[in-house]
Amino acid sequence: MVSFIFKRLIQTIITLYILITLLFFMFRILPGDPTTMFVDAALPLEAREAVLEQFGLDKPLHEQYWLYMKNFVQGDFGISFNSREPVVDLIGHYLMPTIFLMGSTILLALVIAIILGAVTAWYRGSKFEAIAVSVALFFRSAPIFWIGMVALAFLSHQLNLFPIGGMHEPGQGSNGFFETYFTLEFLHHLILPSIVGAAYYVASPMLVMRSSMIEIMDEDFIELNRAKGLSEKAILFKHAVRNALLPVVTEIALIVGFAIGGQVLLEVVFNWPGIGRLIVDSISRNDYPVAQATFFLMGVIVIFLNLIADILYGYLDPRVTYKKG
Amino acid sequence: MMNSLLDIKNLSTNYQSLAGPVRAVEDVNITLNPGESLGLVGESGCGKTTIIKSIMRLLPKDATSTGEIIFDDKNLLEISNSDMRKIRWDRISIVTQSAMNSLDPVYKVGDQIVEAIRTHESVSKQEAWKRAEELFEIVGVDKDRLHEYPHQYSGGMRQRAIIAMALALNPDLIVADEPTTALDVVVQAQILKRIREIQKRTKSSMIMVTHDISVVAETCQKVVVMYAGKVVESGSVKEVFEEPHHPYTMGLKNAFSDIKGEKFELISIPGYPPDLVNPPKGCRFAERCPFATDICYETTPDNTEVNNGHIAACHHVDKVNEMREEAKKRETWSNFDKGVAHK
Repeated sequence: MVSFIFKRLIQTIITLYILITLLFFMFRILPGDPTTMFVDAALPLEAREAVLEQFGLDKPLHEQYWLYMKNFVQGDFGISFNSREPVVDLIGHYLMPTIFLMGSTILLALVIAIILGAVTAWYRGSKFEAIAVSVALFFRSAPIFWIGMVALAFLSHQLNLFPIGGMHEPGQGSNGFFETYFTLEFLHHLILPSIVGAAYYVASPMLVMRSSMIEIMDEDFIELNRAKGLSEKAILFKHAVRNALLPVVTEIALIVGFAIGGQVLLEVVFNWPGIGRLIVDSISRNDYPVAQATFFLMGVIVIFLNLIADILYGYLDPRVTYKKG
Repeated sequence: MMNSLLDIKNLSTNYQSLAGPVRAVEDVNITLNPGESLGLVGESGCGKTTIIKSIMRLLPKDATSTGEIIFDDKNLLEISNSDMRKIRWDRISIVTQSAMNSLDPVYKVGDQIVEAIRTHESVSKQEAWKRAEELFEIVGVDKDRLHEYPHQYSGGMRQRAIIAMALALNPDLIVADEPTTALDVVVQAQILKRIREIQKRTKSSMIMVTHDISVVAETCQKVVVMYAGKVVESGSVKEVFEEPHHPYTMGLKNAFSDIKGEKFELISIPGYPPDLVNPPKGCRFAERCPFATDICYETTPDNTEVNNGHIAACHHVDKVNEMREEAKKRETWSNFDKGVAHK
């Protein structure tokens, strides 16, 4: 087990190295450079060159790459071309809101997906199954920003149930971690975007859970459990759901990768001060250091959640062994 | 007269299919006394497993059973679900056909035995675990292996584990549904030996479902021979196999080697069992029977008691001696095969 984790860590580091390199070249291949965004087009050539020199963009590409890698390894992500703040500070500021929103969205989606998947399979052929599957597919097919806007229009504007967006009321939640994230007021702001995001993500794990359940319910051990005199409830939760969960765990890592794209839209629609918006802004401004760092961060999140899903799988399924080599 | 433990009266079970109801089991009568063991034989698809599932009420939702299954003075077809749950495993346990897949892969084998015990008895986990250890000793598996998962077991060990589980609550009736089919011959012999020993010790009744008559001859006192959902012959093992009165039983005997090792050629019964959506009129075996006459295709044969407790459903029980002589010859079955071809 330990050697498995070690091996996976090495693999992870290699993956990260490739990711960092790709990010470096990707933004430099994209048309435009940082000066095109915030400097007048009529800027004199000398002034433009001065700006490029200031950011080190006048150096040959291999030198830039070397410097970039050196700084990366040291945890120095540079300074934003736009706001002139250190990137680490910027990310630190935007990371927590994203983690909270993304975490609650995915958690909510998974809980609903597992319950609905299990119940629809258990009552296969019922009206409930037909309705639940159609509703889930409806939310999956509708664009997330559209659902978000409709939800805002109805639930926030008309019914006044939820705040209209943002993370806090003006003047609230800027003193300390607990005061910011562990208040009812924050929760109130968190609920609607989480529900909208979850409604979008719920369909695929739910369908995986459902088909996995249907397969498991045909297994001989389910019938033997019935013969053992177990109640239907015990068979459903202790045996059927427990076994059907395994493919869903694999699905989690996929959803997370997928959720990052949705996260950007969700944050824009709900005016959520998170990494998603930072990504959009940094790309449109050709703010290389911020874009590189935020993309890198997202990559790290996906890679590590994959690793966690792999390890979790081993705990959930005793048939999986982590052999050496 | 002794009160029987299980009395199946006129049991018929239908499955739904796209072509119409499948009459998988029709008008079956079986009586089993306490401590007795009964073999239920017949080829695949003849309704053996359906009878077992009818007794345990494990049939799919679209299946319907009529008749009576009296167990301990209660009709199992009529009692409530919760009463049925109390009978399952505590009074009737089963050793399933495919022990390979009958254990939940994500729980330790010991935990699954403990689960069976604690579903029916309020004992502590430690106590239940201790009983599981004793059960493993009975079936001859090292008790440390209770801590392992099913995938770490061999096929024979899984079968033993299921047998151990079936014994856990000292049931009145153990149903073994082809317990050795999935195992290799050496392991088969070991398992059968173990089942015989256990039965002697626990004095539980047993129903042994199999298509292998040598298994029945080795382990049972009574036998019920089924063909296409109907009982064709029943009685004591000795009588039925030594003096078969139904041509199907004679054919079945030819198709298996004798356990005593007497060498003779195996002869198979040509043809296939009938379609149970539209079963043939008259005797269901008639089409494959070398001795069939017009009456066999017209009317369903009655159950004739040919000897005390020995019943055969054949129109020609009076000609049994000739049939038995003929049935031993290969030509009887193969000539007949040609006969069918040009009919």
